[in-house]
Amino acid sequence: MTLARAEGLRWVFRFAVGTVTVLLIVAASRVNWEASPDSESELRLSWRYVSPTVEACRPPTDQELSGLPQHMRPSEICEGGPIPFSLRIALDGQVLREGPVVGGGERAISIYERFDVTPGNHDLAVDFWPDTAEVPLPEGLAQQLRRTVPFTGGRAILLTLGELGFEVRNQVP
Amino acid sequence: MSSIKKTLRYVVTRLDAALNRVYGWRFNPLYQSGSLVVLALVIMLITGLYLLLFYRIGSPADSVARVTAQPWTGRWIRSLHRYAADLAVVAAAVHAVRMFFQGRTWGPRALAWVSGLFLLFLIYVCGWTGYVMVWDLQAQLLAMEGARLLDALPIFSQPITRAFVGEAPPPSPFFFLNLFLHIAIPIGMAGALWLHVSRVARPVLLPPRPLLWGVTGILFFWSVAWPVPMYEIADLLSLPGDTTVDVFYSFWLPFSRALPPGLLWGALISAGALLTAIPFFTRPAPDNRPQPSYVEPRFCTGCEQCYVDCPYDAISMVARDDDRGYELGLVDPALCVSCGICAGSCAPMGVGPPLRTGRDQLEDVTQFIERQAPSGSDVVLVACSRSAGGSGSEARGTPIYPVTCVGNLHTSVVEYLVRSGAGGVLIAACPPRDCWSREGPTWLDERLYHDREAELKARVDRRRIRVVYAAEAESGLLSRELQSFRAEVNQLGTASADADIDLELICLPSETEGAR
Repeated sequence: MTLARAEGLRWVFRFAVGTVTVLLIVAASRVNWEASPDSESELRLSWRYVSPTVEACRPPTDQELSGLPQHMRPSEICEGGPIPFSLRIALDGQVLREGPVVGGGERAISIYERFDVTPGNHDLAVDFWPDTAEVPLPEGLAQQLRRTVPFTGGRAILLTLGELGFEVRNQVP
Repeated sequence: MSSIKKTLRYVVTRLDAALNRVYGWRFNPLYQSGSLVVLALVIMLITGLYLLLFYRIGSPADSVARVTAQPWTGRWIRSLHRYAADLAVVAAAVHAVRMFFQGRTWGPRALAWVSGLFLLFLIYVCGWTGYVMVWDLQAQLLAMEGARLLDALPIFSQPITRAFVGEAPPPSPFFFLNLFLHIAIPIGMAGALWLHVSRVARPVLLPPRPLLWGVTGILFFWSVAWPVPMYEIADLLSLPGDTTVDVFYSFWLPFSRALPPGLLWGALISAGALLTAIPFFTRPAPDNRPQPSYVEPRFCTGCEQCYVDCPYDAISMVARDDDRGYELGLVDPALCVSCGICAGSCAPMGVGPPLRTGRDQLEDVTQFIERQAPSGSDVVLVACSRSAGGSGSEARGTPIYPVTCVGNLHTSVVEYLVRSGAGGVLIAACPPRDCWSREGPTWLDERLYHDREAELKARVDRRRIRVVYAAEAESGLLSRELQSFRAEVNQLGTASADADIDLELICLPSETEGAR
């Protein structure tokens, strides 16, 4: 074998080694992975709700006014705040979540829940109601859903609260 | 820690030797790992500029699909962009492993280590935003899992995962922010890269041209032969089942889906803290810590060679406080890594680490010659402790004179060995791009053959001197070179010792020498 031929073969070998090495890197950039099995489905609840505020106002007492400078004396004192709410989620009669939901201070209530569900038809029961003894409350605050919902493997069902009440979605608008 | 280093050193040095056989040390990609990261970033920058022309934040998946559908340009440019991103991660990991087992992580090099970790973090964040830009199933996974991780932190008043719950498509501001980060982060990378190399002189940012074009060519080849397709577009109400993911940027997904976010954050923070603390863990005990170089003022002639040769810019020239008209070298101990290359650069032997200055080396070699008494047919092996000659196992029967780095070796030592009657001097050095002190073999070659200070004097017979670049696991190469050199030396005839060697003449400066 001549020197030139040997050198030529060496260059071919160099490119072959480099090509295979980069091939391994390229192959590792497209690996199949089952992030979640197709046998799973999911229920998601997501909405943001600005709770109405209930306040009871009264004139201040002399004692309350006496401790304040003239320019800081209010004409009336209102007590109250956003109405607390509670949420109950049940699937086929089994309660998944039940309890109060709060927004933190004066902020809106933010609901975000995820539950793994076996594909198939399931009876979904959701209640979202003002949980307070204060009376009277504005009408139409409590929301309720009772529906049989089909869950498909590999898909999520989203329950959200719009102006017209609960909406069940299986497609992104 | 030392057992981890030993294991890594064993594996990597064997890989080095294997690739040296294929590519030679000049083009061994493992020796160019840092510059390959920069090459990958440059490729991403150029291809990214093209992709940016077509990306639309209002319809991200459609715009990427349009680019991918361009058969002559967009398809392979997009693939080249992605494959370069993967190469950047691989090369950065190789670079970090090399620096770790070579002990180049503590002291003055701690800044390079920590800034390197930060650069790798930026590469990952940039890669995350790049994959999300495509808005396919992998992007959906990365976005949702990233949001889930961020929600575990007490930052947001509402969970940001709600943006990906399926109430509506992600808003355009999300893609705008993503694109902004993807473009802004590389600008930050430029700054981090500047910091990363700020403590080295003459940083080599790109690989040699044959390797540069070879790597680019192979990446281009696979971009054309196996381009990245357009995968299934993201559907927020679809649970990502079989998804195609990039192992280099999505390796954390299985953990994020299996572990609680708090636990994953704990693991990430712990890993980051451990890596950042490596300069602390790898720092030798005070008794074993190599001492920085120092300049002996009475010997310094102000020639500036040590200042020029120092691979870490640790030496500056300052005004003297005596009546000599030239400047004095001053070593900054905070920057000096004690490689000793300054000692090899100094003709009057006025600088160097303790016990490794030129004068110390002459004392050592004098004792070596008295002990070993090399004959006129003997070849003395001067071996860098990190080269193949470091173990000494392949040179039985050969007198071995060890050095910590061939850059530290003063040419007067070589001259003394030859003129003391040794048949030949074979210097075993690490391949220049693998020198643990960066420039040792380069300066040695210049001093022996190209009159760089402190040059080997013309009176020394060059036929009796040879330099071989043999990496740690290339003992076979060293053995063959030793045999070959012995045969050459035998043909030259037996060397005889000079009777009139005056060490004082060799190492004391003339009183009339001054700054150049």
